[in-house]
Amino acid sequence: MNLEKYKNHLIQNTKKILTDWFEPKENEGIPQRDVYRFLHSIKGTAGTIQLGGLMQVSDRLLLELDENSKKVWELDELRNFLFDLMELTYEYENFEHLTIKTSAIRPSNAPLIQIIDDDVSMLILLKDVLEEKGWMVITNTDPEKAVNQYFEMHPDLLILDIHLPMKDGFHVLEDIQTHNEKYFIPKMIISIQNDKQTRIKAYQSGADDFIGKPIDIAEFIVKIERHLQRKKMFDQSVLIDELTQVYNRRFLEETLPRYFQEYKRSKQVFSISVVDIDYFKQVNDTYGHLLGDRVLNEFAQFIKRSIRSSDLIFRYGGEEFVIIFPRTKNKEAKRRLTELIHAFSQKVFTYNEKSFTITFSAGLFTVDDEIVTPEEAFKYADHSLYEAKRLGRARVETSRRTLSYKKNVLNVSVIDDDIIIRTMLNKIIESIDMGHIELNIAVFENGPLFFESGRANDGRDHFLIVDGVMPIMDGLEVLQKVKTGPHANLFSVLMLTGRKSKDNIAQALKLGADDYVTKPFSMPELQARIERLLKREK
Amino acid sequence: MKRILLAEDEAVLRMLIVDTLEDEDYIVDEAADGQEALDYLKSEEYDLVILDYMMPVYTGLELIEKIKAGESLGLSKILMLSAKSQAFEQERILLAGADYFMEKPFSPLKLLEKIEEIINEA
Repeated sequence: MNLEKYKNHLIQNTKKILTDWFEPKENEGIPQRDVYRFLHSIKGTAGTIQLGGLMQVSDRLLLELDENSKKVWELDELRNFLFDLMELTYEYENFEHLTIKTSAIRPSNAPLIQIIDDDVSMLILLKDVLEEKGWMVITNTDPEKAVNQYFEMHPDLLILDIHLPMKDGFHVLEDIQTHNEKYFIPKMIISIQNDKQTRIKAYQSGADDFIGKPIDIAEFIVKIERHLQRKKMFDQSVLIDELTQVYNRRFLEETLPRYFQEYKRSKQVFSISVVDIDYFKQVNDTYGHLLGDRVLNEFAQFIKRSIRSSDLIFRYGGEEFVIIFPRTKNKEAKRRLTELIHAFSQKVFTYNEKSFTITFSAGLFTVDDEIVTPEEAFKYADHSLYEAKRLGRARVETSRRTLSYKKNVLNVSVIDDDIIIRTMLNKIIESIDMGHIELNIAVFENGPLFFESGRANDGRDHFLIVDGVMPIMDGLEVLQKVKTGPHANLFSVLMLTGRKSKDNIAQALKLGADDYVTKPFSMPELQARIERLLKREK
Repeated sequence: MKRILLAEDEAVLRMLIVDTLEDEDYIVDEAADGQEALDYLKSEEYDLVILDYMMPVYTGLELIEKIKAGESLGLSKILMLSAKSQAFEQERILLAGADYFMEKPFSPLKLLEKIEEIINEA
């Protein structure tokens, strides 16, 4: 049964009501009763036409509302309240066009969860919820592709809806089971059918867990946490270096890229250090390999005990180790390493009644931009290590590319006639941390309102995001106006354009637009783009 | 051909149910609120009446009372749709005089199965 038509209707109806509410300037607020009815009607319909995500969000929002309250919502307040719903509506509408990013390497060190569900709104919702917990989520609606993805990516947990088009979830489970001997990957079934028979069949087919729809998110999260813990215990048993009992190189190669992925998302600066025991060959030659092994083991254990629980140590090979310091800036990492070097050098080893001490050297690299790759970062840190050796050993050397910002106020204005896009852009920009630059954000539904506000002429640097096609004054006109105005050189302009409007893009660039993004856009991508442009500003 | 009245205020859901039933060659009258439904009930006889619980003007329960009080032309089977899933709510609906109950959200195919079952029983 094809439900597309009804889904589109519901999405369009939802959008229309949102637009009616937020568009007119003279609106005096929305009575709670209307908000309640709006959500109630989405909830009632969405589940039946397989928009489970919408059902879930509206259900949650409804719980916060008293049907009989006489409250009248202010628009701003309501916009905040309904934000998740607006976002989901937008994402759903454009889902097919948005690229679901998958990469051959496992990005960042977050647990990776794969969800297979043909209900796209449900996918989007679950992805949001899980990513909020800091987990990485890959999604797929097509079971064939999903199975391939499963074997390529080795997720830490599989979540599977048993009602899939073409192939039912039980068959997907079977496909996976036949290849699954090597990996320990917990599998959780979600299903709108929650009867005993279905549950038994699911467990028989290899499921480790079962949860009925609509999903109780709190319970869902706890179950996932448990599965991930078990998975982690299992993984550690095979990813640990036998001699030193710290993570092995294989695990480093899996883990390191995840930090870079995570950096792109969270902008959390982190540091990588390559460390190496000084004159280790002499230890081996003088005292034999047995002692050499003991030194390696004690060194690794010493570091492991001395670093924070969030820091990770890996044996890279031989006497070389890698330490990752999450959320740690260069200066801090350097201080920690210096302390470690000092503390370790105090440690006395004895062998056949002979005592000796050992030192180590460290090279450090701090990741604070998006350009650097895991391989490059490792290379920089490794290079610094050799610099440390060259400069006399038992020391830290660092190679860091610094970015400095001028303290300033930057105007950021958004002009778009679509309320949903306007709201989402506002939220995105608010979440951007520009360090020393303070962002002064304002949104406008059309060009004239923007110019009337006087912001265009306040002499500040200005980052302007403008929709290309708008009813009252179109984006090109706005662009032309600011680029030929008295403060033209203060403006950077990002144009939002339709996919097919090539002429429009060409004209925008000719008129001086600094960048453009085609609609529909994925929000994370746009966010990255905006951040890049903003940072280039100063 | 069997005739069905569908009273459901949510347009998208109504459209979906109507399309589903018409594909199976049922004749369907659609009402968007309790008043429209009552107008139909006074002028037509139905093999089945599908009522949403929550509707403007008259709720599903109020409509049942009116049917039982003889305000409709005939006595038809009544299937109530409701998001109220707790057992006592369902019981209340059945006690009020609905013959069948279907919990929202439902799968359109399940609804069709149920309707066929009801119609064949009659």
